[in-house]
Amino acid sequence: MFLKSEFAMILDSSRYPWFSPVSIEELRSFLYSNVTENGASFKLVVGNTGTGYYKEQRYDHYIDLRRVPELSIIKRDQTGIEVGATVTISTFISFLKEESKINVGSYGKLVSDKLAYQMEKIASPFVRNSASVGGNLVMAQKNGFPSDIATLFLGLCATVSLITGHGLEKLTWEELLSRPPLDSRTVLLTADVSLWQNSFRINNIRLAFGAYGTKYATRAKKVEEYLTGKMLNVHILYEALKLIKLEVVPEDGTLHPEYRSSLAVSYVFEFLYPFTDAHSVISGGLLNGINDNSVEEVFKSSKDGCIIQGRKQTLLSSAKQVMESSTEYYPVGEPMKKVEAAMQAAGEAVYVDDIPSPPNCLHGAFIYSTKPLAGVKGIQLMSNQLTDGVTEVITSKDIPSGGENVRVITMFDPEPLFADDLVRCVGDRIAIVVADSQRSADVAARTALVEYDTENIDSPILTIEDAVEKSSFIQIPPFLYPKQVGDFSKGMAEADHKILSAEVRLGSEYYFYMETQTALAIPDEDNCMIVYTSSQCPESAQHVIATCLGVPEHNIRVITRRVRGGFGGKAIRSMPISTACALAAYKLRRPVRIYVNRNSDMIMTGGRHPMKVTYSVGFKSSGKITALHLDLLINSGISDDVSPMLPLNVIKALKKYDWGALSFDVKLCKTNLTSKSAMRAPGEVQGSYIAEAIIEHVSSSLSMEVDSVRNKNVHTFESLNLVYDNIVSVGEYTLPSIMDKLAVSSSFFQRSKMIEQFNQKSTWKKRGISRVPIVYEATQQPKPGKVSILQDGSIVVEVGGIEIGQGLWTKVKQMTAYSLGLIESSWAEELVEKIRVIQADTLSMVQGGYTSGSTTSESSCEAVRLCCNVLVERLSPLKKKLQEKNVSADWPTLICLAQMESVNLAANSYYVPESDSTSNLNFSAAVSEVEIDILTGETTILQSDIIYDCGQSLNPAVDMGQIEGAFVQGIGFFMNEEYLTNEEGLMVSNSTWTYKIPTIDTIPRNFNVHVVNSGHHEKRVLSSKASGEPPLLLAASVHCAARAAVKAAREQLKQWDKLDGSVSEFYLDVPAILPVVKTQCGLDYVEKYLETLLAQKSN
Amino acid sequence: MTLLKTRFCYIDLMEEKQKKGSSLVFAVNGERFELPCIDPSTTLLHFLRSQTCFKSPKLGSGEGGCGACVVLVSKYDLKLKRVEDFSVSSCLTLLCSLNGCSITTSEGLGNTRDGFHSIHERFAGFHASQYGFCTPGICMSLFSALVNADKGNNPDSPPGFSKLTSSEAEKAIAGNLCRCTGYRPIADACKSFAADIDIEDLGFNSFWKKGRFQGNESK
Repeated sequence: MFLKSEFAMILDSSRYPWFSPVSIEELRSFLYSNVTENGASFKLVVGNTGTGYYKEQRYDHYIDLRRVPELSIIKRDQTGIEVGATVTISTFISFLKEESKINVGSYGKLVSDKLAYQMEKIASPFVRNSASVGGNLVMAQKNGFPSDIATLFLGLCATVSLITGHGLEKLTWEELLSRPPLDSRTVLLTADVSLWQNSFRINNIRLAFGAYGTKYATRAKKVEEYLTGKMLNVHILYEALKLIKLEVVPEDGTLHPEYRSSLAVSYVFEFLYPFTDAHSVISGGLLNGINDNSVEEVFKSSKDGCIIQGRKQTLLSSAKQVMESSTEYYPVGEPMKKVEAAMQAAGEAVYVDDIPSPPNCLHGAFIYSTKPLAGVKGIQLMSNQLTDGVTEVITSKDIPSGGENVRVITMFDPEPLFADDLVRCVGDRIAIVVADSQRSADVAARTALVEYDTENIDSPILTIEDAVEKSSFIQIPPFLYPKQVGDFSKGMAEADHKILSAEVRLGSEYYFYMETQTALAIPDEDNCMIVYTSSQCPESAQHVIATCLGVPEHNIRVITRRVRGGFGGKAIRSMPISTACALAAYKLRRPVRIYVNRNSDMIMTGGRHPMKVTYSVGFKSSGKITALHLDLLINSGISDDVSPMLPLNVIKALKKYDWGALSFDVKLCKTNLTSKSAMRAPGEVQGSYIAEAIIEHVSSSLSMEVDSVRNKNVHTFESLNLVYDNIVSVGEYTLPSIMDKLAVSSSFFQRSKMIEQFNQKSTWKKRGISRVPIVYEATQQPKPGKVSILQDGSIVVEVGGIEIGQGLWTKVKQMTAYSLGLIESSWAEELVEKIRVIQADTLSMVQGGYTSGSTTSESSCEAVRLCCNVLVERLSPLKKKLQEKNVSADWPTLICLAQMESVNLAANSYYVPESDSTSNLNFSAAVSEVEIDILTGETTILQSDIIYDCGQSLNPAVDMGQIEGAFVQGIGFFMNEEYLTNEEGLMVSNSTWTYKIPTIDTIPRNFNVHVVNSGHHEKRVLSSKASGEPPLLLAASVHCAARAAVKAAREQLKQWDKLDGSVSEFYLDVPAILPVVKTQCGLDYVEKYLETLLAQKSN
Repeated sequence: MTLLKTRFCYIDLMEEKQKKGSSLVFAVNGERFELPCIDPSTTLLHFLRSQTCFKSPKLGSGEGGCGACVVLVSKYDLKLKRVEDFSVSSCLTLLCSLNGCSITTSEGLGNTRDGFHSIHERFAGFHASQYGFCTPGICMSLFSALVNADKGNNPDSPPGFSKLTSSEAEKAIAGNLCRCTGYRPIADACKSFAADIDIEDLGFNSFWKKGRFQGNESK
């Protein structure tokens, strides 16, 4: 079918600086030609995926290696596999898989399988499809790239062929690694992987370790020497592991060095243990830890004595969603598809960066501070203005007279848009570079040199402790200071036991919306401006832009159609982007757009508030808590932002348990860090977790079951209303029944018993389960709405709330159809199709406010309902008229008549919640079960069950999505996302390489969510309760379950009589990443296990 | 359908029988592009987003780390004498390396005017797209897996089903990040194409409709 062209299409290298040699000779002749000799830069490329790691400048010439036949071979012969440098990782994997199917002998099969298995862990399919094996190796050799292939090839004794200036050279990969970095003209040709023999006696062993904190993958040669020629037994293995720990030592400055060494021990142990004399005794232990029959079968079937990788797949295996819908307000309550879902999937939904650039458009990028506190003497651009397209550098000096240097105006203190002469935090905005393309602007900003001056400047405040020492605090207005409960000293006097001054620390979290901060500003006539921005509060953006430019607000039209990920980060933190963009456009009189690159966004945007809590708690022997005092220190970063609201949020969520008396001292620490801001469930997730940490601590010290201590301290209806100001009506407090229901539906107690049995039998895997309740106070905010009916009967709706993916438009659409359908309920279904919700436009609809706090959908729906009521009132008489005339009344006819009779077909409203219905409580609970792998510290979430009270959901499918999504984001906070800063407070985990949000293999393997319909709630919008933020708190159940599993591991150590410290009194950090879990299980667990075995033997 | 269209266009390209020294020619969603000159460091993503109307590939990380920019590349392999289809990160792929290739983006599979592709409909029906920035890339990862599974050696599946297995369907999107959904509905939308899955075992969706909606049963 396809034309079999003899001619490959090859770009004309005289027209394009792109050379595609078809032979080694051509390649060599180019490499040593005039072009390259004259100092022009060039790059050898295959898939160019390396630029994802090493962001680089452009080159004069590119040499595409893919057409050189010698570089693309892949074949197998008697001795091994030869793979050309340009072969993609995917092709190599498929080749290995094919090979292992045909008869290559057991060793060949083993090596092929193992290689393929390991290489499938590299990057992702779409990167492996174009990334080459050779490119990966060369990056490892030249730049110290933490390459898995480099490690594998080192272990497999691979040899490589190079073409250098002198000709062909063959050497071992190990030798090449030890050489100085390859020069740009040396080309890696192929790599050969030999297949080595194997037997129980170790004839020859190679132990290669990579990416554990040294520049290159290396071998543990002392261990190799020690093992060579020995018959493996427990003693020999034990000695070898001691040597490993001495030999595999990460370089200074590597993160978690002890963990990395201990991991090396685990891997060697796992690899060699089955070959020892104790194998038969222990394999049971190993296998019992693996909950997968197929693994057991694989293990049994591997008669040649080799372990096939036994780690199980962690992908989702089952999930159940139960929803209880209501037809009372049809089509409200229907699990309708999201309005624009299919269009989003097809990629047609237009986000800010998808709006075509107007002619003459420029692009901006921020130059930010890398120092926490310093004077700025000057900025020097490395980019050349003429050749690199740089137009201008915009700083605070460009703010027009009459304008102010502000980027944030909240109810609290304003914050400057640009640092004047002093930067006050890392990530502080110094300037924006404006250039003809986003890439040029990014390069210019990245390479700009800022000259700092720290003379005569105080040392920066970087930690909570620094702030306390220097009394650097942000004021909390009295009306936002939470209220104490009861008398603490009296409560303490009632206690049988006390824990005094225990500590909990929590770190930050980055939003990781997929669409980074972005804006497009277009100057208009008469000092007006249109600004498109991805913002959760266009109204505030308008206010700040107008203030900065010194123009009336009616000059500034801010338009937000949809925001692709906010989570709080596109509220206050989006203002500097739109303001700086508008300022540049204003000054240059040209359109300017900014799309902040991921790395800068992560540094500049801030995130969740880190906290330090010191608590003292008194409790009865029964587990009932009688008094709690907290000293809560919140790191707010440099500016007020929304920090003054945090204390209240923390305490509101913490009050989910009845603490008896509750007192606290809260301080907001002002530090020279990026301002922390609201992030989904700000303060609440910390407060709810702190409560759990205290409960865990109390139960540990009493040696009681955590779950029973929880149950003892859950509120009664009376105690709940006491601490939450009587906002809950009789029958609305569903938490106790949710907890009972959840225990049944998740078989909580049976599974707890099974886990106990499992943990007794399993040495290497431990499991834990936990049930966690939450109480979340949501606050309803005022919102505007506008409904207009057009000539053809189609309806257009504007609301103050922004569609940020939470399904607001869908709910608004349903509400509009329901409310207009009150004219004739049979029309409602047809009406759904006639409604379009349009973008927020600050000049078309004022008082839009913030889209935050989980309640914006409800408020927007209510505003729309009020509009529809007005329209229904106007239209109903006409409908009566039609009926009287016996005209078949349908919607278009009715609207036609209304047009003729000059009825006003637009209505607007401003919904303001009644004072007694602004606040309400949300209730939910989750049970999670996890399994930890003691060898690696990895946590697998086996099952999570959630019951969520949504009142009467406006759209249960949308709310289900919010619940699952928030829960998984919470898993990220509690288990995965390590927010790392350097010694100056600069975020250094600022890329997808270092900051790990949950992926599809992080989520619970069984994931069951039940959205309960709790009936009528008079004070809520059509009885609906919020779903956006509260479920995030439930993810603490995963952390608590992990803690229970770690406890089981410590119990095991105690049984061996080798536990330092207490079984249950330990603190598991958040996030409980692998090193945290493994450290609490004992980094020398393996050694202790072997010591126990040796001791048993000698007895 | 669209893929077919794309391939015909691809044949046209090949028929030009370019000798050494050709212009940069490639196709996007069946539309031919010939670029007489280009900065060789231009990425496919940059080109698509600034020079064409196809904006479904998004810039999420610029590192190949999120999958928001994934597209399908189809290329005639001279040695194997067949068309290879594979997904790539368009933010890393250099345009010049695509000479003679055909590129398919999510709007190339289907769109508002020509009708959506069943992948798009499944994502909508399984409630698998919330803020949607990651969705087109995920659709293309899945599409690539489907195309390749149908070429592969898996046993023939019942009519109307692909040859993709459910575990392959999940693996296909393992590198795509999503911050909204928690992945469960995405996994279900992908698995709904697998031959070895019972639709009854998948999560809540708008395709079951009557009789299966738990709420109505419990009321």
